[in-house]
Amino acid sequence: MFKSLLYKEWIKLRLYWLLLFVVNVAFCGFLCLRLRHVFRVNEAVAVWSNWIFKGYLFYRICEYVPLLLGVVLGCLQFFPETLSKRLRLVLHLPLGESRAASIHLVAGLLMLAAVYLPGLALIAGISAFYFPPDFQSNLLLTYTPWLLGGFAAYLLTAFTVLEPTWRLRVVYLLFSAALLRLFFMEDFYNSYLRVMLSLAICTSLLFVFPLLSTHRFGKGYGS
Amino acid sequence: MNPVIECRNLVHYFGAKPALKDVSWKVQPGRVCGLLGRNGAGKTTTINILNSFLTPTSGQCLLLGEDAHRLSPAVKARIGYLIEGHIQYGFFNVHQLERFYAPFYERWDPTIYFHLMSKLDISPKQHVATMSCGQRSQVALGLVLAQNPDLIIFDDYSMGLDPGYRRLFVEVIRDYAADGKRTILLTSHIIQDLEHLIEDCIIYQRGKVLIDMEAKRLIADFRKYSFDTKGDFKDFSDDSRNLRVERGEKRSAIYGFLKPEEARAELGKLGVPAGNNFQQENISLEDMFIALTGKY
Amino acid sequence: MKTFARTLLFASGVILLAHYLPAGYWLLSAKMRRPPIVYYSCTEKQFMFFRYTNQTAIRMDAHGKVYEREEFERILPIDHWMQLLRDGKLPDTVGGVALTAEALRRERLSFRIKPTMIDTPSVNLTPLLDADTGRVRLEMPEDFMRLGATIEFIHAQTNVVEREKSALFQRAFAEAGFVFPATVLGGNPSTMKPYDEGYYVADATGATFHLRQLRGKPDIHRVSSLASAEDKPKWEALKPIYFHVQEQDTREVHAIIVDKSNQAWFAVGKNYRLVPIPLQHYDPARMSLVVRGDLINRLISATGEDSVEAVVLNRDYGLVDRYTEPLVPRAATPAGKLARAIFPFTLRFEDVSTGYLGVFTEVGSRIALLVNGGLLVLMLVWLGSRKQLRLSRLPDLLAVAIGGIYGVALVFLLPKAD
Repeated sequence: MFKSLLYKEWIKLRLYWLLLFVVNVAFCGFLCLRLRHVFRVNEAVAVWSNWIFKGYLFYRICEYVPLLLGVVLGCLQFFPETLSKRLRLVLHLPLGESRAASIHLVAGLLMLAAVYLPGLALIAGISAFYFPPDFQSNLLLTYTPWLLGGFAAYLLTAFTVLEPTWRLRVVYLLFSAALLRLFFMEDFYNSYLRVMLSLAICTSLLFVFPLLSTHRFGKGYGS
Repeated sequence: MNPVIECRNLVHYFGAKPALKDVSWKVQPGRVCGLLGRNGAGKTTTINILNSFLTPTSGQCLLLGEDAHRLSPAVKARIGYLIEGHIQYGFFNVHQLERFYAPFYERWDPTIYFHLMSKLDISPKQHVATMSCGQRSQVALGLVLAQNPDLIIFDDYSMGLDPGYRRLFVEVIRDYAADGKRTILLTSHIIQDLEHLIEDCIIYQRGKVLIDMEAKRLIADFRKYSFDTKGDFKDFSDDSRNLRVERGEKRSAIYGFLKPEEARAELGKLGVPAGNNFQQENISLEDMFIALTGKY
Repeated sequence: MKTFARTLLFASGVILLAHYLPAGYWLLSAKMRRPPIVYYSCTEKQFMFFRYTNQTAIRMDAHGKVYEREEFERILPIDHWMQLLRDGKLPDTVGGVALTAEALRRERLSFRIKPTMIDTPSVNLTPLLDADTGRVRLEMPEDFMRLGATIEFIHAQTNVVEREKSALFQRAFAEAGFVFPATVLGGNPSTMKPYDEGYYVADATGATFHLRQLRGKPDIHRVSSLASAEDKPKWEALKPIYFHVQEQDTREVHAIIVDKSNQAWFAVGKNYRLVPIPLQHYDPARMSLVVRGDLINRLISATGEDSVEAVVLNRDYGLVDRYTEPLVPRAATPAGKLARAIFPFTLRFEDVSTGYLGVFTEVGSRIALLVNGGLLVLMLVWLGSRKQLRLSRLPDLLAVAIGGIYGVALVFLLPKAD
């Protein structure tokens, strides 16, 4: 049953996933080219001085990319389920409502991870070429809240889209915006160091919110 | 014998508007039951409650002995449900659909599904979203039947279907139910299709059960008597006695569970002069339905 | 699951409202509140102030006398020497000290230490300039230093460790008695300065070392071994948490050091004289330290939310005068009192004390507790009147009990229990 639901989500989303994958890899690839360009036209020590010491986050243009990808995937995955109340097909299957919804979310999270990780690997790879390990770990730790923000955005999008009433969708939209802003308060490397674990735990707890929306959908709220 | 479907004192309000007013009925095992009613009578509300997509304001539904809102996965596997509009996943083709659903059902038998698919003029990789309404209906039907369920609920199976597909549906359902081992509940607006299909008939009127009886008995006992129109009188209806009188320009009629003399007596009570040519007419199930529920 | 999800939703909602509602409140109600800028008049021998009140600025002394701008500038000749020079009003001497433009320019000291400088994320890579290249101007080196469990130099162009140089410095550190890992590092990795002081480093035992690079060679010494007999025990007892290095033309101050006991020190002169800054209420986590030195005095002020304290030292770092003034913290203003009454608690994720994000809480006043209690009672009555007082509404009631108005808003905004 787990495989079947994963199969369904894969068939539904595979072309979109491919598009998102290509967009993210292309974007990160573009960033790598820019980084290479900067090191070719400037002295390395000047770049290090500006970027390492003064805290210029050269990949700040990536900041909201994971969030956008999470929102887009969440919409692509769950809007079709709400059209003509197709979610009823899943809720009618012989497995628990929470389990069914959870498997959908796991599928989405896996696909999202599969979009993020190659891009992250590209950035990590090119950074390893130009910067020492200390700085790479700073880069990755600085990127992590944005990545968590992407997963959070996906879960909050599912939460909002699956909610059957428009009034609460608006409330959840505001709630999501308020919560997601907390992932993007960084202005220097490692600002989130002391709260990273809490942030990761909070992100994982967001998993239950779409289950609540699914439950409300199944109960016929908004009908 | 325990009923397969049981609704007990269902009451539901949408805001302040009542949709169901203390509805109770049962469907026994092996029966094909038609749930009929005009738009807004409460059929879809009842179906949604049965499928736990709606929580009633009060009352309870049981399916195969379990509370419909707390069905175990084992019982869910024994219930097939065809959603209104034959909703299915448009991004699948027929093979992918079968591959998706099969692992959920222990009794899955794809024979009838692929048999129905072979009759459709579709290519193997064609997505459901690109099929016609009729083709989609066959896909949805095939998937439900392949589950080998003990109970099937068809929510307005005829929606959007041309006569050919509607006929196909009726024939498949009839063949499927022939062994008496399956229980079927169906709703539809095309009453003439159901006349030779359903064994039990439940008719809703304004959120209440108007009729709950065997279809045979309804057809045998509910009669129409027509007569020449004489004098001026208004149309009359009494839901509690399933009685209706309609005035026509030339011919008028009285409907009800009435023998001829009872019909004349009712007309007399109502002060309606029974004109010449008082005779019983054969009427279809659709005529009975309209007579019972009205045209407006 | 649905109860857990709903409870979590309420909890998240309370946290978010506790952050955003007070922020919105202050966005609407904040007024200009700047602490006074403190000066010391070397002619009048008294403190002078530039105060901000109601969007205007007033110049006054400690007795409350208000001054016009020209008079204020005359009383503070060294702080306004450029204007006075232009106007032809600069005195020739003050206290026997000649006031020449060249001397005034050269003998300026200016430091500012903010709390976020002390506790802030950093990248463990920094350039160690060569202090003695023989060139007039300082140049950025081609490598960056990584000082932690060991010392290494990484060439920026190739991103490869320079093994020889690293080994050379590692040996020098060992010979100087440095115990790895390094715990605190302070320096000024910029070429825009008159000379290079190098870095001050605390080792694993808390001992302070001075590190420079001279013509490619390491120059590292335990500072206490270079200090005078009088200062040596002070250096040995010092447990630094922050070194502030900012090279200035006077070359007088090596560094300002903040230690674990919230004491700030000047390290000055050839023998690394360690001079305590005699502030009585300095809290490095919550106060900015500003040092302004001139030909005659050193004025050090520590400014926080609820007080400003200033001390004046002479050229020999002897105490001349001190001043303390309580400030009205935001929480004590009318708007602050109202906020503390209506918001049972406030959450912030940034704070003046640190460059790291965290969770910083401010609790409301007792009135807020009463408000919470009142709201809870009203909520119980309201739910009771609608026959909705059941166990599934417990998250709602908890949210009101703990979150007060936050909880009340959420009860109406969020989905009701089944």
